[in-house]
Amino acid sequence: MAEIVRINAVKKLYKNNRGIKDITISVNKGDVLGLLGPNGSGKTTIMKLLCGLIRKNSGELTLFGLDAEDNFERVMKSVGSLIEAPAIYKKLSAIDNLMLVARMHGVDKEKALETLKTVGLLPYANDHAERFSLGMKQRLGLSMALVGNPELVILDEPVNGLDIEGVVGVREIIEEQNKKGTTFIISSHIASELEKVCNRVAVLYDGEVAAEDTVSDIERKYPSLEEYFLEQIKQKRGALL
Amino acid sequence: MIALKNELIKLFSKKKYIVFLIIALAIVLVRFLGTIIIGGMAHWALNNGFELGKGMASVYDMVSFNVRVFTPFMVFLAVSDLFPSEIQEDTIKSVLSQPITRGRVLAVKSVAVLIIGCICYFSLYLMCLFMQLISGGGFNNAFTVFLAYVIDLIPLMGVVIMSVCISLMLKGPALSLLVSVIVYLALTYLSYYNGTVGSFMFTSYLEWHKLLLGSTVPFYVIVSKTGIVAGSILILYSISYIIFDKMDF
Repeated sequence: MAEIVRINAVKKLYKNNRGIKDITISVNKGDVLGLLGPNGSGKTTIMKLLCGLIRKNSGELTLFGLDAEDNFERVMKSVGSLIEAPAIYKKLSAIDNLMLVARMHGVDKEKALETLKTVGLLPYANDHAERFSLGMKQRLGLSMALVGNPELVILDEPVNGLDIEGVVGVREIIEEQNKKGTTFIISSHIASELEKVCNRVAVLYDGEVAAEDTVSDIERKYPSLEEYFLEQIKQKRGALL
Repeated sequence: MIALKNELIKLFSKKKYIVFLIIALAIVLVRFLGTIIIGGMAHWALNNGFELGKGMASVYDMVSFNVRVFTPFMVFLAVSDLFPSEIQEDTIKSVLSQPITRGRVLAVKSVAVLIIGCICYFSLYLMCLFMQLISGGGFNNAFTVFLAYVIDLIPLMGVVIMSVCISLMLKGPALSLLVSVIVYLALTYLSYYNGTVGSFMFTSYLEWHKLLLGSTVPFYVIVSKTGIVAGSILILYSISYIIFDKMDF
């Protein structure tokens, strides 16, 4: 399997000394990697680093075999992302918001409308985003991540604010795209949700990788991903004490 | 070009630019109607018969208002929308996570603001020209004033970059707008009161058009100051780039 993402000994500390201390993770083509961890464990920091929203202090970060910072424009053509709350311009309609991203990836309006259809927002294509509910904004954010036909999709809490139907919808989209070969990195607080879509999981704690395993191995050894997560956190806390 | 189009779409989605432009055009209209009516009344007083058009509007009349007041304000407004406002609302993430480097994002946003400045310059110019035409002035000085506006675009670049630099140092669009206005006023009045310091400020050259309109500034002095204006722009742009490139979002 080709390695798509390589995060090697990457460190990024904010002014408050929080962030990630020394993270090494690699993601292969076709993987759906779940990042699981308590608040402040460094999940979003990793995702922001991959999208170029923050700069690392040290370490090596490669995407598609290229240094992510030196080849930013080149690698980002193949990356779609939804980090924290979706970045939506309230004064623009759903399709106009989506076209801001689509144009950058050379995607036409027809394909953008198709993507809106995929996330169930086609009937609202011309509605202003300021009138959207939290769930609709989240779905629009997801469509912005997918519109460029990316090889790698980075989703930070993608089911935030979604109702049950929305959660199932997102899961189906991820599964469908993954079948086509798209690689995903997904973070979530909901272990059961990650368990359903991911094939690998990395547990983060205090800016470090506490454990990493395939979901099939975890399912063999533990009753659920939640149990696995709690056990890893407990061990890490114990080791730190 | 695609990124520039995106920035312009974002700016024009906000109605306030159209509203402010309409207000400025209304000011031009009122000012010229005043000129026409007062001139006509004066003529009537002299000849005992009102005759419209004897108080002639000139395309040159509103250049200073446009160059010194209206356009800089619109520029500050656009900068605060494209930088601190996007940072505060987190929408800048959707720009920075696209296949475009931060250097290009900075350049594209600055050019988008400069385009807003151009639109302001030439909208008011066209309105003034229209008023001159209907008041019977024909196309007198039309091309000269057009060239004057084109020349004034160079120091306007300095105003844009100064505001960008300020906005990247501050948090919040309102604060950025306020500080940009204060710094602009300070630099402008500094050049009035202290000629030596003022000669190094790009704001002193916002009225370069006077060189074309037969005022006091000699041409060779303006040419020699081109380096200062370009230097100011380069320094401010470099500072802006360093700040923007190191920012975490």
